[in-house]
Amino acid sequence: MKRYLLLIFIFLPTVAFAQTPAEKMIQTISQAGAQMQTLECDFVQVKHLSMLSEDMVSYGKMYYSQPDKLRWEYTRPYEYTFILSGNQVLINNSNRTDVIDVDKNKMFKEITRLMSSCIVGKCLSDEKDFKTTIQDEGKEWVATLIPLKRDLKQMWTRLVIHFDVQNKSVTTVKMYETSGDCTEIELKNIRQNHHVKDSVFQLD
Amino acid sequence: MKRKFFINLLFVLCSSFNIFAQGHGRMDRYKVQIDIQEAYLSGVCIIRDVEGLLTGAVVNEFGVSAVTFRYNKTKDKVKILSLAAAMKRPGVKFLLKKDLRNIMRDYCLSEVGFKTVYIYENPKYRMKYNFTPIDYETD
Repeated sequence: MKRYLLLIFIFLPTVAFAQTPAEKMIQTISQAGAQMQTLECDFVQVKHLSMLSEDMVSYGKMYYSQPDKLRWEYTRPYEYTFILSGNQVLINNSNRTDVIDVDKNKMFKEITRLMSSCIVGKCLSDEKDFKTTIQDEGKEWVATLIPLKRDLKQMWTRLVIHFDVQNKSVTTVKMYETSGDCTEIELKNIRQNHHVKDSVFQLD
Repeated sequence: MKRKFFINLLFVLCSSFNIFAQGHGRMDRYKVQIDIQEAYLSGVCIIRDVEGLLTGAVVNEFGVSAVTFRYNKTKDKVKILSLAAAMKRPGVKFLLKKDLRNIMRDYCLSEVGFKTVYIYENPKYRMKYNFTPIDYETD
């Protein structure tokens, strides 16, 4: 009996702490995200409108610097810039420029938190916001995030994030809306840990 | 018999073509900004006109749908098909229906849509709609 108990005690930690392949993938992505200091890339956004059977394509550039600097800029067919720097957000379109204090605006706080956490893959382990599943599809790891919070549920039925297996960074984000519409953002020409000028995140 | 068959075939082909044409119609794309008192909503508006039945969608820059609507030119009526959760507030739907009806009336009057900047104002509720034509790449 004692021998059995001893065996149980020896193997219990191994059993209790054994990671599933999904947990391993999420951990690997989180570790890679934590090591990423900067990210710079081009992106192509395709919005599929089910009502009009139409695809809208927009192009832009994205810059990210840990922990809280982000520039999301659409260059064509319209110009629109979103800059997050600390607790402030600048929104600039062709008609006006606004600077918003994120701490005073709950909605923007959520948006910016979500954007940043998706870039570094933190959202995968965010159990409050999403129920996450992840699949190994050879060259890619594909994570499906089902929103749990009411605000997120009202907007999306699910988010699907593709990660490159080699450098563990996000390559595509697909957002499925409750209306049946879908937005796909593909990141291209990704450059990690290259110097990004501070001026890129300037709010003036 | 053969002649009747070919006439029928021709009719079917013409009908199919007509259905195909109806499914596409004319499509216009605009950069849109809706100022609502101190707040505003900006994005892209797409309007498709299929023989007097106009379907429109306003989508913000990040691709999130704000509102989709349908305007029946003959009945001069707007139906809001969907509205973003953040916009589902008392009176907003009614206000949008009223303003979009006036905007769509002007759109139809021009016969070629808005070819330059179009501005519509609702002074009572301090709302301003700005439509600027854009060339949008489609698949």
